[in-house]
Amino acid sequence: MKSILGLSPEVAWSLLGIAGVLTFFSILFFIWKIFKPHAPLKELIDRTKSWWVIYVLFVGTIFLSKTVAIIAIAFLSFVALREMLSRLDFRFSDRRAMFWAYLVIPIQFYCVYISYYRLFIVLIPVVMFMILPFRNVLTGEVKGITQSTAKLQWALMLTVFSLSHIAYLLAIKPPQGFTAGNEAYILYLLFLTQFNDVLQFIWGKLLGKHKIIPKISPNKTWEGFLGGLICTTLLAYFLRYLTPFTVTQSLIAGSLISFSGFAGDLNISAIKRDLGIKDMGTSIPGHGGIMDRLDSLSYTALVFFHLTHLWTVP
Amino acid sequence: MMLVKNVVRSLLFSVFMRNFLRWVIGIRIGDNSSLKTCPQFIVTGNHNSHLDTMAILSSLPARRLKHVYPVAAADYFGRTKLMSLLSRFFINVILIKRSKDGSGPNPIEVMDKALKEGKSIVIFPEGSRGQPEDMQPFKKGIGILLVNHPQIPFIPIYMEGLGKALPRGEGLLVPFEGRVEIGEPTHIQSDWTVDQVVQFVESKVLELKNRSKEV
Repeated sequence: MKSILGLSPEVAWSLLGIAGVLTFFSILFFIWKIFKPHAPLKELIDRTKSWWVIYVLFVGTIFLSKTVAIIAIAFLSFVALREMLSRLDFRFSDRRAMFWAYLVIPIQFYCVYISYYRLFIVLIPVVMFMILPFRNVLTGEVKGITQSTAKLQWALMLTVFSLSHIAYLLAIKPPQGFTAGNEAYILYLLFLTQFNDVLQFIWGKLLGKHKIIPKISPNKTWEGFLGGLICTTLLAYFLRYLTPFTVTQSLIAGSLISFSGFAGDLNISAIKRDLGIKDMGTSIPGHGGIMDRLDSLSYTALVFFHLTHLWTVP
Repeated sequence: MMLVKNVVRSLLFSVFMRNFLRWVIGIRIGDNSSLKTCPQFIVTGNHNSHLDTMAILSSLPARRLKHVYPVAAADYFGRTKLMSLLSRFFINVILIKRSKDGSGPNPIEVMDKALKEGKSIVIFPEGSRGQPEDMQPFKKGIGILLVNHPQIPFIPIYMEGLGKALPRGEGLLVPFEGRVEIGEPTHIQSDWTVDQVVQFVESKVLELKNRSKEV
């Protein structure tokens, strides 16, 4: 098969398809705005614009070169970690440990760069798990140390550890005969995760009646969840040419992405409820902060990575 | 020499520092249009960190940099000859002495003179940096200056988060999201007393605290 602009045909056509979907919605909202100038569309239009920016940045980095992609994802996880650490109410004395948490980012992504899986997979859950509490202990400030240490480790897991798995998808050795390229894994994961978010939202709006956990998220309904689950699983089946998965594997991947995306989303929602804030940040117009957009991805990235690793790496 | 200085400072603040604060530390600088148009002003900001001066200078449009002089304490910025030379060159600093015994030039007179020369100045009316992110009551100096120069407007600036990124007495810079909110140039009424002016300025700075949260 011939490559198009250095992309495999599978990836190129999928990207074109996504651009088509975005174009469709941009035009739809544009026309809607003309006929109903007072419709509350600002958030939707802002969101669509942000999606275009994300799309262009995504295509411009992930497919430029592996190095650029890794640096871009490293920077994204830095901003995500910074956002979490800025929201979670740390003590003054936690600054030193926070600094160490930031320092781990380049090391973690260097492991991705040189495909050093052994260190990559233990650096944060094992090494930092011991270093961060120790650094905090050294300050001698014990009041609130339990919460601080737990929050710091958790923030690091949700942002850097999780997002670095997206980068590691580029470093996995693809099985023989799989021609779509490792970028296709990322495309598959991101597209399914984000589509699942949107589909759960749309099905919830259309049919939603029975709320799942109204205390945390009043918009999450059983109808939305199941609608998203079915659609995402179907989509995972149809897009499976982006992966080396068998039919069964693609169905499992799709449904688990839907499940874990739902859980990751609720996880961040619960934090926001606890802190009494609407958004984690203000980085992305219409979406809020980085973690408002990457909430589901912080879970799906781990699930998808380990499924892929399990099924394709001998 | 002046040209070299201006170019170096524009690169330092408007290019390097602004992007460093934005992308590494996570400081968002709000709309700076009031700093673009106003010919002479006194910037009054709350004070949490050494980053405050950097953040305000980075907020300025590059071509205004040469007109703006931050006022700072000689006991820190003028600790050594080299330090005072560097801060004069890069920050354009006006050094004042915080002495209780009244020796040396009176800080108010130094600032008065700068304003008469047409300079714009940056002052932190809380005096020293307080506890991180905890605004202290404003001192009288700003009131006296504005009463002496009622034709010059003040521009309130509220900064948040910088005291977490680099608190007082800390040398380690840790990224922490924050923001710089820039208010409108505001004139005082010519019949106000010094205390009234101080209170007014303080309330204008505090007003900015809630600005972007409402949007």
